[in-house]
Amino acid sequence: MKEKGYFLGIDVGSVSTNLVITDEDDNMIERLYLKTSGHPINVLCNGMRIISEKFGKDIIVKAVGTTGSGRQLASVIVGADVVKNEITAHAVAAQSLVPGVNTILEIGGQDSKIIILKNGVVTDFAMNTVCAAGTGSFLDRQASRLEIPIEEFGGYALRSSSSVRIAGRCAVFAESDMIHKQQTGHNVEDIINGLCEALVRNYLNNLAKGKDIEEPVVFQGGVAANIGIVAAFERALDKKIIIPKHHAVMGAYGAALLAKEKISRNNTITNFYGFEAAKSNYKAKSWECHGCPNLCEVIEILSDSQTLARWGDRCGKWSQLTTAV
Amino acid sequence: MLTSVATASKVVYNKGCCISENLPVIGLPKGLFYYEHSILWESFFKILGFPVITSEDTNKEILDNGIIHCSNETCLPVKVFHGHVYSLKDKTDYIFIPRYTSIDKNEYTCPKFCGLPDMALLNLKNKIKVLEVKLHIDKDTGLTFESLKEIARILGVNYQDTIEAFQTAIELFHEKKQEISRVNCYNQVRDLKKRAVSVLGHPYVIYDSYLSMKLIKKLKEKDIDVYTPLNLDHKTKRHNAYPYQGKAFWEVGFENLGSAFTYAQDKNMNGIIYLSPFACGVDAFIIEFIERQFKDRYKVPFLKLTIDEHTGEAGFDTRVEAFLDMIG
Repeated sequence: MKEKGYFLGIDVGSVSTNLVITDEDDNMIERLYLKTSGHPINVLCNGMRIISEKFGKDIIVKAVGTTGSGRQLASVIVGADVVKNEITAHAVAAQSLVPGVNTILEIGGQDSKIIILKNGVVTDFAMNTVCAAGTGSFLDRQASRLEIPIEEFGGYALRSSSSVRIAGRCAVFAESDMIHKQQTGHNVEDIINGLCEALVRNYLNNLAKGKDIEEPVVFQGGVAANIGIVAAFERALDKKIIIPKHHAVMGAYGAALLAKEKISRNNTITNFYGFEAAKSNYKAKSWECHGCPNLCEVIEILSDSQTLARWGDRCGKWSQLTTAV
Repeated sequence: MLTSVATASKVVYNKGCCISENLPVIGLPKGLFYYEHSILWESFFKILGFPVITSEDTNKEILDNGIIHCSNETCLPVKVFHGHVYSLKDKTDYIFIPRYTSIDKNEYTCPKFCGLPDMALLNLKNKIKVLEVKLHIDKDTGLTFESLKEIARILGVNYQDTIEAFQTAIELFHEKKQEISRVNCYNQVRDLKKRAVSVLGHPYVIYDSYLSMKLIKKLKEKDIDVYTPLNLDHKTKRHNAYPYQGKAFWEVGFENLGSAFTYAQDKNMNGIIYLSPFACGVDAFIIEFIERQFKDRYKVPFLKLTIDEHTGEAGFDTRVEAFLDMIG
């Protein structure tokens, strides 16, 4: 009998680092949602330790996929078979859980995206441009300013009785508008609801402009946990919004599925270094290269004082030194 | 090509003008107009016999100096241009900044091009000396000759020689342009084994490898054939520049409009990427037209990429990778 294998998906995002273990039938058997807190390497190693403590030696990892803005970093540390951008990873995950999905709305910590599919093929997508207004980190900031736990933030919006208009184009404008409204005596529920509506309005104007949003519509990413935003989307689109059970770890789930697909297609052995590797002492350092006026910011990843990888140089003089990891 | 420049300049030398031990050095900033018209202006000054120094390719130092020395509200390419001017400040006697107001009948350029010499002078607090040639074809070609007269006066050369040098430089420019379009001429995507992507945007964005985060190089490294507005001739672009066929108020815009709709008609073009600097007024219109037309008429995948001061390439690469995944 074929030995039972598992697949590891890792999504290192700006706000959260997520790890997912799937089995041969694509069932999610473990998921971790950890705050990145500005230390992606430590958090990732920590997550690996949690999984290895829980499953011990019973688990045979057949393939690993990484995604998210820290995907290169994660790949160097764990030994990934697939390093995939988060748009593709999110699309793959949503299609697996909601077959026939036509629209994916995704709002994460720093990014927001919309993905349009037709007959199971991605036909169009958009991501927020240069600024990260209206994403999870902004909601986090407003929640802490109002001293409301982020988990309860959406509930406040649902209790609103009258609408308050908040400027949504830019996070800085939105914040000053919220403060002005608060100082004129509007209650917090109405202001939070106004904010949810502003963010949805901004999202639809920016990302979804000119795109046909057709059902089924899936909403995923950390912000999908915010019931205020969900309700605002439903009102604005007049459509039913599906929130997958594992909405917060969809990127990691997609990465695991992509890793499985690649390994089974090519019939190869995984690059995974094993859970033990997470126990090494990883360090990242950076310096400015003065080789030319570009002054590139070079990053070096070290494991117990041995260089694993370097990147960030435009000319390739540093990164090429360590291509043979 | 180069030999003809050399012979031409010899002719001028032999006329006995501008032979002096310490000829003033002319600086040519590598930004904005440079990517289309460098041959014209470099030849012009060389034919007159003056040494020309071109600034280096855009790098971090140039970007940083541009941001420090330029007003905040402009687009990134204008800021970078100021960085180039700044880098030439101590190496040259004069910096050449042409004033492109209109370069064809009924066509005007971006307002920042119209005021570029003034902007550079003000931003650099008059620490530089600027030579300018005015191009205002729609209103009055006489303005160009007046400005050439002024250059002749400043540099102490004969006016007639200056006019001749200008005319020769224009001929050289057109020769070179024809040569380029002969070599790169696009008819249709032929190599069907490779993916084909067209990269659109202003020449000073897509050909500046620092500003464009090496987009063209990155695509080529993935074994993709890249097509830009340079691969199309003027006539084709003008003909296809919906909704401004035959007449576009903004010259910079119609190049891209025409290219977009020409490439979109090619069934073997896998995708089109438009690289746009944040807050570009021309692009705001152009991209809107392109997106609407694509949606109604063509089925070609389209990606709009916005660039600004960011030097982290992760977000940029994510979008490009996802786009390439999408076009398959």
